[in-house]
Amino acid sequence: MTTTAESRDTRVPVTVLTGFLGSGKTTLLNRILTEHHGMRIAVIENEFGEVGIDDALVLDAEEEIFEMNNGCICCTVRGDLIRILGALMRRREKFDHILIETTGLADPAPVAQTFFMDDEIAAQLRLDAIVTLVDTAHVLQHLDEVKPEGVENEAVEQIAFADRVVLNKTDLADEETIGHVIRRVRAINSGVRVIPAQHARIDLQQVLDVGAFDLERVLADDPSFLTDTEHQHDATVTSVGIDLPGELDEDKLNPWLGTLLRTKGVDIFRSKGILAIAGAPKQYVFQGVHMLLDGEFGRDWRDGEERRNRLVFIGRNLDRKELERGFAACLATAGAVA
Amino acid sequence: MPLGARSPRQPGPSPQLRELKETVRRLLGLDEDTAVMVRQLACTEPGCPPVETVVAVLPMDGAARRWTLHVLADRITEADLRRVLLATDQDQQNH
Repeated sequence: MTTTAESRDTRVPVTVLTGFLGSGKTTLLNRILTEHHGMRIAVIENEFGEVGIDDALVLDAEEEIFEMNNGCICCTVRGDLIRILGALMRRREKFDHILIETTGLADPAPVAQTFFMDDEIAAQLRLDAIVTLVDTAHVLQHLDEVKPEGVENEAVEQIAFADRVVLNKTDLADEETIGHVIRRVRAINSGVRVIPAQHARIDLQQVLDVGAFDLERVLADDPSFLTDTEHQHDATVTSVGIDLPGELDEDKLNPWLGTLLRTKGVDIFRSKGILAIAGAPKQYVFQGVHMLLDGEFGRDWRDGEERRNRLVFIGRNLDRKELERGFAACLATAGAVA
Repeated sequence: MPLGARSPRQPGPSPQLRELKETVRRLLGLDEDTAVMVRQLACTEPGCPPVETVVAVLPMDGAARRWTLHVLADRITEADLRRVLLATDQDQQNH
């Protein structure tokens, strides 16, 4: 489904493919490269040199973490991607879609932040979705792995950042394990769409050009996407969804959000929401990765449509009550109907 | 404007940032394959200044470099860039 706004968006969609070694990334990638889907795809990955496969262009990249600032996690991007994407955009006519395959241990944050950090990249490319593959039979042991102090659990992060989780190799796991994995995935990232698969055989329309960073499109498919978050008391990385009617006082919202991202941004992997700003005729739609936030006014509030605010935070050690209380304090009105 | 808001989508990147990038390219004699980023950061981790503008240069071959100007991006002049980028004791980091 393509919205009117989306059809005007001529930027090249970018899919990020993450997942541990053995999760089936390469199998899915090969399917994407060989299946007749009508798209010309440029692939950025780590294993091949630059070769052409059918209509695809495959470019080699060596992961390079580039700190824009002195080690602050909010300012870390992928230097290799910035170089390659810049070069790719000079060959814009040769492809319709870009797919970035990360290494199994890659942190998705610098990849995602690359699309928030540079306005030239943001003007030409749109992050379409982060797709994470998991090996159903083995992912629990990765999720449960205890890491040394200060070391991230990459498997947890890759699920936390995901818009789609492909639950691969379900033929190698029993029903109980599959159910357990799904519950664990949703405990980390409640809104993520889970796609069971064997041999990475999925309908590619479920992962390519899905507009997962277009909240209006996502909510049209799943109205409870932002707020259908269960309370999880035993998980470190969780989702907190907030759904509050009313309009927000910008003068309260900005300092609250600014302080939140400043003090907790390291732990907030992703944030997204649609807000009603007092005095604004349009919805305010935002997406964030750690401390970086990108927002714009979307469609008009419709006549009679209830002004409400829906947002979700996915991150580590989130204090649901504190987030709910802090956000509610930004309201200028409560339950107002336009 | 709400935090994080940008102007309604423009057909291209900010003309002002593009101009700054072009100035960086000219001053450093960069080829078109070299990526240039200019980004104003409001990173407020302890020890970081509240606002700074980072200029990063990433050649296809060779080390990436960056410079930090403690000036808002829209206040940076060519003289500022010339002073910082061409200084012999550059405040830069190689990656």
